[in-house]
Amino acid sequence: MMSTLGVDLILFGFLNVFSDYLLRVHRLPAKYFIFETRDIAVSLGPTSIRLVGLVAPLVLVLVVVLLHLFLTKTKLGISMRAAIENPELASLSGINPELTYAIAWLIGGALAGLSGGLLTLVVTGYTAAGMTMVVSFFAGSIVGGLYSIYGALLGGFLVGVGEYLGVSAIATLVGGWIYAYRPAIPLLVMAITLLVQPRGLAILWGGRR
Amino acid sequence: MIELPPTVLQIILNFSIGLIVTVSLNIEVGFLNLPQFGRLLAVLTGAIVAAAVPGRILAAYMGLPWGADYAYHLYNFGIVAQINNMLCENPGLSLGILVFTLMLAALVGGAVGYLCAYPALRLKEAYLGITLLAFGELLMTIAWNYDPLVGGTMGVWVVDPFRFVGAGGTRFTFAALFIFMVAIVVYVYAELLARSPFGRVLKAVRDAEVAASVYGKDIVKIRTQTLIIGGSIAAVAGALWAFFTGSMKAATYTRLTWTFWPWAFMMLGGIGNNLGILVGVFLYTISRTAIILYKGSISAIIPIDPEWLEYIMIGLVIVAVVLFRPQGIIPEKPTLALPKQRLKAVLEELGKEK
Repeated sequence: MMSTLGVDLILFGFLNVFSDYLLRVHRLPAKYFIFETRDIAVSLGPTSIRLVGLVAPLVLVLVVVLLHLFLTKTKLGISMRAAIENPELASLSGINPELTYAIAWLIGGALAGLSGGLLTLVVTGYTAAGMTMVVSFFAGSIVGGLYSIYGALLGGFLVGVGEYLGVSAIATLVGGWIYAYRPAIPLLVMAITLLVQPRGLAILWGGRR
Repeated sequence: MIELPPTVLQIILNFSIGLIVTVSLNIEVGFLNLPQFGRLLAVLTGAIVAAAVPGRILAAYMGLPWGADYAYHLYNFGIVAQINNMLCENPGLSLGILVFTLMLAALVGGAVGYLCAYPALRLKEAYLGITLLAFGELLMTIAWNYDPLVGGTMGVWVVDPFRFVGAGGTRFTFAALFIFMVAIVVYVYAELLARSPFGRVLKAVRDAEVAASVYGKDIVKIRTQTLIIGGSIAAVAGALWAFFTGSMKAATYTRLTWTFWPWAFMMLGGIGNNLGILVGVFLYTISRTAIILYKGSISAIIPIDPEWLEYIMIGLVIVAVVLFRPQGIIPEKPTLALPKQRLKAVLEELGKEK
């Protein structure tokens, strides 16, 4: 976990260096990006929503289906699961665990980048955006359990719904002051879930222990 | 009284605070291998205690508003200024308040550590690490938004128990030296802890949990005690920092500064080894101060904010340590149960018998 953080800090530093460079040398406004207003509105019957509202769920479905196919049908995906389950046994049957780990990192990074691309259409893009939001992403992945795609899907859904819809629901009960604590909601969801189900929700349908 | 130049003060201060936090982290991570990614929680607790409690007590004593009004930013400045004027006249009271607050912070930090033991006994590795991290963020969100506690987004001023020695440089010198003293005490305590039977039990549990429990060691109790000790030391660091800076704003306490940097200090120096931690904190403090000091000349050469160099440096060090020297600069050595001289004497005696 710490080496991930080290890489993260280096990338964060260079990202900021780059944006400083663009700002000071080329006088480009490279600190804040607002793409929300550039998004295309799509009319859906009586209402209209922004295109990202359609694209993001589609991408989600596509990613989950592809990941499922990848991990259950392809040789590489199966060997990846084997390498995580039991590295020694996997390497006996000719799998290179190091290579599979590297590929897993590649896929993880690619998916995180994809989500970042969609995210800039929803929130203001700035260099520390990831740093501030990463805690609720952690919460989502942990709630579902670390070894299951569907766990992650459910966890992300729970945390996201809790953070936005849940807060509005609570606000109608207790008043608007609760909105200030919005970032705390996913963490609370996570803490409660883990105290009930220490290995994440994926255990419920037979995920890995 | 002597006045030290600001750069030296900066180094002493950062070194001392860093040492206290990292030592507390090392007791939990190095000795017991708990994934403590929530160091921020205890540090912030200490800072909140220092910001909220002594000021209120003194305000109530002086007949000033001490309830929710105390933390309201329009009144707070005036109230704290009056209290500080009073504290200037009363060195004894100042020191009393200082010691009392540090003890209270340690107590509350220990209580927070005890509360953390509940998840810490149930969750494993990454789950626990992220839960603790989330607890820290949770407390930060609450302190940031709940105004009556420590002023919310406006922050509060913290009463200044160091002011009685004089204003300006003298005050900062005294405060920094006091914090340095506390850091030395904490370091010596951690070193004694590492050499004590309790420290050896911690390392035994870390290296072979099943074996330790077979020998009758109560793992639950040991983990709880370790979390309490670590939490109280970290809370003292938070309280000292709040006193030194003289103001408290929850959002300035980030997980980067109070959790990940101590982790980096610890990894560089050597996990599980107090001397290594001392060296790690010292090296980081020197290089960070150098970056801050030469900020102007760096940004004159390359068109960036040197702050980012700090991030890159710390990230590079973490990655380099993980890749090339996972045991740190000074690797952990097994601690001796008896002084070296006596062990040698015993060995010689055994040799004679043979």
